[in-house]
Amino acid sequence: MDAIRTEELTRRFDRVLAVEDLTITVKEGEVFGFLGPNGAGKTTTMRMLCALIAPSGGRAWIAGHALGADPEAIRASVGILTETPGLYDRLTVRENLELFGQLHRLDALADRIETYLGLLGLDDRREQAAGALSKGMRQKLAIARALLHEPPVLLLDEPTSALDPASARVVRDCIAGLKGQGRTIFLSTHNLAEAEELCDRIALFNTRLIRVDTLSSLRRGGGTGRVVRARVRGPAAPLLDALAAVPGLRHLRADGSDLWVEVDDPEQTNPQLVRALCGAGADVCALEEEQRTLEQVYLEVVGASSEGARGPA
Amino acid sequence: MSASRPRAAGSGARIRALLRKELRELRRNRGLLGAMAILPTIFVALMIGVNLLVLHTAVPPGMTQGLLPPAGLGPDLATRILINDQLMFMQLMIPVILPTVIAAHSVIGEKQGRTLEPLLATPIRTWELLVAKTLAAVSPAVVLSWLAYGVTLAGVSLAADAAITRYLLRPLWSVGMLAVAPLLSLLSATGTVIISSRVNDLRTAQALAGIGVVPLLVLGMSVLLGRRFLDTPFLVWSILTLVPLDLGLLWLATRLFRREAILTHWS
Repeated sequence: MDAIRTEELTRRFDRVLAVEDLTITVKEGEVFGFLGPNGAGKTTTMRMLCALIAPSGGRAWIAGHALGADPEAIRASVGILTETPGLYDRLTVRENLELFGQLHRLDALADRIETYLGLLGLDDRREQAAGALSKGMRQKLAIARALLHEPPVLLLDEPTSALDPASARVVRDCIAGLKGQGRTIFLSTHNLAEAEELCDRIALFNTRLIRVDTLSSLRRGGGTGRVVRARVRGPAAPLLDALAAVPGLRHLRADGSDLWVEVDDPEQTNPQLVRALCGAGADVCALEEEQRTLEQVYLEVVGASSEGARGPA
Repeated sequence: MSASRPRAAGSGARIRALLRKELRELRRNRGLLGAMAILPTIFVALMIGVNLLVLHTAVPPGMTQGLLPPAGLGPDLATRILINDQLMFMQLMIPVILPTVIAAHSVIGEKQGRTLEPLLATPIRTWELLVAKTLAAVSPAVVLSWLAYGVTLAGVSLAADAAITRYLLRPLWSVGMLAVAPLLSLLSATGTVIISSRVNDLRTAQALAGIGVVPLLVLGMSVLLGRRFLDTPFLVWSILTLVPLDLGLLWLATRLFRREAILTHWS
């Protein structure tokens, strides 16, 4: 069953289109990264997914509930972590959780609170005022609050933004722990390292959905093969003709001493590639599988979409 | 992972939970509590002080001329009762003014503290939120008003003629403070919650909330000018008017609460 499904979900604010025709599915137990630049519409999408704001068009189902039919049921099925923790500073850690547990009308609330305080390492802070917590601790408390009613879907909106590296690490470890428990997590972020570390699939989004795929597939540029780079002594361009006849090699290109080819099965094709290069008189200095970083993919894809959106100068 | 099963939907429980939170926050905000206590303290001191002063001062002849004194009283006692009635009017301002201090902050405060979005992401309904916010503003104001009335009665009974204390205990004021004060407080708090949910600046909300006192001032002036006499029928009429007004304003507050605009347009 899909935890989240949207079909052409759209939200317009007056004349500004914030989200356009978003169609995605997030499977149960999946950590789904939602990446895009500032102002891309990520927060608007999350607000629609937890029934805080209504879409202008399209449809969505969250934990089996149709958007618009029963907002309270959706809110009961979703835990949201907003960009800023939004805690009541004068209340203690326990009182903050108690309030939200009571608003969700939860049974055995005291036990649940103890469970989540323990899970997030906050048990020795239970009687401390939320306003006295460090940023990382505040974010952990906000996560505990989002989890308290054990929602099938968690929406995390930039959970580590504005945190120092140590606090961000604490929060990331916490999310990794939740992933280990099989929670469905919709993670909006523009921290690419975070997305690489945590997400099963990643959507690149800039008002419209640009691409959605697994991390490895995104790194391959969305193709089915893997990119192999060979470094030779001297210029590589004259060797292209010799490689054209080798079966299984695609998209050959050369730049200086480097050659790039796309292959389906490196185990099978790489030896043939080396033999062909040696046969053509090349000295092969190195051969490695090219791993593009998510940042490269992101800048390429989202950058192109932004250029496209701006149109010709 | 399955969703935990919440107990049967209960608006009362959600209202109580939010109200408890509001009162906890207020209890821990000593600066605000202190500021809220200033107005009742001044009004109580003023009333006891005036009674102490009047007790030892002869009422000038003709002072009550043109006014509507309680029937069958001598001019001295009638004048003192009229003065006390005017001062009691000021005490009725306590339940009108004090809730605005809290209610002005009710929605804007949540928005500025970034707590509104997590709160609205729970199954709480708009009317539940607004009722809790209104009650949170009303309850401390009403308690302080009743306390001020009690201290005033005690103080006046020591400072003035026993007949004046009896007049301050007549249904106009005893029922008035017990029933009209909460109703006025509700009206004032709900009106201010509406303002707090419609403007995006706390100072604007506080300034607009101050206007709520004007009808009470007008009524006080009309009594002082002899246009209106405070009696039991007037009290009953006030209660019968305030109850539907309070309910109507709460309904209006729910209709005017723009959940989306507050979340998306306020900075």
